[in-house]
Amino acid sequence: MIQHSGIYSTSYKEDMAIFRTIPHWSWFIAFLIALIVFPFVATAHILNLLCIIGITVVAVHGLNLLTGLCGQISVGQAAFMGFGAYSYGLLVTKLGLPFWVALPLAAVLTGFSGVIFGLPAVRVKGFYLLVTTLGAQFIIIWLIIHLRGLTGGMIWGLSVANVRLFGYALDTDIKKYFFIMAFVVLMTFLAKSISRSRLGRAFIAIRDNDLAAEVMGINLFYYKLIAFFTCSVFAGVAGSLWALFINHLHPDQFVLMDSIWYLGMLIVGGMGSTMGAIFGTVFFKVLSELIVIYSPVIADLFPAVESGIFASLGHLIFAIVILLFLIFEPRGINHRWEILKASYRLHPFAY
Amino acid sequence: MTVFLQYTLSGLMTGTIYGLVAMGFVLIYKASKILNFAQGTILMFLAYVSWSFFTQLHFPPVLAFMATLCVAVILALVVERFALRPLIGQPLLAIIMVTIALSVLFEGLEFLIWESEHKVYEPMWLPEDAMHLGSLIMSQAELYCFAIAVILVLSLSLFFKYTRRGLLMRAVAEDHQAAQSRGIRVHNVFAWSWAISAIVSAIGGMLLGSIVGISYAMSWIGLKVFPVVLLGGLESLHGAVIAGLIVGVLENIAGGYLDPLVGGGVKDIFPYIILIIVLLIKPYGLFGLVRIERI
Repeated sequence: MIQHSGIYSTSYKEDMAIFRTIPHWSWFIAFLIALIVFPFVATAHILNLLCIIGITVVAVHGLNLLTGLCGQISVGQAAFMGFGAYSYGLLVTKLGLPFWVALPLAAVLTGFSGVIFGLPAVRVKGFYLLVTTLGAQFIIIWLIIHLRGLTGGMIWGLSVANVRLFGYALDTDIKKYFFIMAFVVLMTFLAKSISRSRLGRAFIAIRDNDLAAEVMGINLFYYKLIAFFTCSVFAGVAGSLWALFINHLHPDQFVLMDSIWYLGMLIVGGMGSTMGAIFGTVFFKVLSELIVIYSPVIADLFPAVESGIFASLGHLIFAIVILLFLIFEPRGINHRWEILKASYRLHPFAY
Repeated sequence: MTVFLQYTLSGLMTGTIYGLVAMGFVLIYKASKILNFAQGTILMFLAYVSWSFFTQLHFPPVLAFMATLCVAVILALVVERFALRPLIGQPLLAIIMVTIALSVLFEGLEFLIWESEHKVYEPMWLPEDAMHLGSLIMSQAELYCFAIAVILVLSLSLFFKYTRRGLLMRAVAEDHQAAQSRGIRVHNVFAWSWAISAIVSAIGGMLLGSIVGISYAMSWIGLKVFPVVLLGGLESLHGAVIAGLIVGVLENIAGGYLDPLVGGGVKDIFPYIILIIVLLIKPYGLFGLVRIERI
């Protein structure tokens, strides 16, 4: 990474640090403070949006480890999230476990479900794998719908009680926000750490050329399944957070389109970078939120036109923004961000 | 036994449509290695277009049919030129995402113009009287679908085998760079494969629309088609059709016999179960090209 002139590392540890300089640290701390202060000034609606963004970020981090780093395309993330949410819900409601047991347990269970559907990855790759994960999406949701006795199926859904933490119930949005954001920060740190570790380097080797990786001594079977496991663990955590955020689970909350949008967020943000996952999620969610808010405003400007048209306007604007974005910046927001950072550091020189 | 045959027969009819749509998918994949997630939505959109020609504008059937095909070709060329050509050489996933965005775009356009209403052709352009084959019942429209699909498959394979254009397309499917270095305009071939794929989709959409009516839900066939394509092998046109028939028959039989036991929905997941089993045994599908990888 390019640093400002005059910044030298005197040890390997210093060179590898995520936050290398004092400005880095101050930006990071400023960001954390902003996260803490924000709920007190934000409206309930924005708070809600932030919680959803946070939960989605966790799911997309998982997908980033699997798809961005290890190169295994998956369109089943929403279903794995559903699996996590329902396992958490069932562990809490049927077995009465406290959240600090139920959440990790649900995450690990989801991890193993991911391994089961990841098994074909050992033999197939690319598009073939994509369709088996598509199968995971359909089969898991089908199971959730048809195991009515446990999950409540399509009609009743599954109600999940609020978390009790040190005797206090997490019953308001602000309390939930802090709870979720703590997990988001934790999982982001975890995702970044995995991507910098031996595991992450093995993933990258597999993505770049799996045969070469195997020749170099990376056990493909083991690492591909580990990739599926970690991805699904993230999905499980995201699902559990979703369960305790929304309080009522329904199979319609984990549809195929969500899986596809998670992939989309990753692509728009920039594959294979932790920042990219966050950028992409925020971009998508804020864009769709803006469209929801402003479509009626545009509709009011043209009272002569039928209102039905504006319902489709959201779809159209969304699609066109994404299309234009990808055509002009197919490497994602993160790529642009890196260019921006580099040019700031090199200023006033071009290179 | 009669019930079994009846399930098989209607499975075959659904299977031909799957086969058709799968063919459109394989065409694009073969030429440009693009996985077209928008296939189902394009089919739905074109079915609505055809409805407008047939029923709203009262074109005579042949004219309406041709007009729909023209719209399909124009649409495909526009999409190829403005959405996909700028992305040649970019990461594969970015291209997949573009096709997903395209599918949302077409959904939006469809809603803008037809508001997702359920439509039927009036008058029907295919005869729809029931036919009796012994104790089996089928509609004539389904039989026509079957015939049209078979003709389409045959003419496409002849096209690939005997025309110059078909030869160029096969050359590009083999290797882009080698084809380009022999003086083939790879861009042109991409545009051709999009156009042919859109024609196949349009016909598939019109046939499907004449059997079950035209609705927003038609775009689901785009997802149904993935297991079909993989079962047949990604590179094989014949494979797509045969796999379409296999999946159509199997899911119909499984749905017919298992639905009452487990409470519905078997049809939606059964293709994937077949697929996962087949992939574990034959990773490249029934007729796919086995890739031998070297470092």
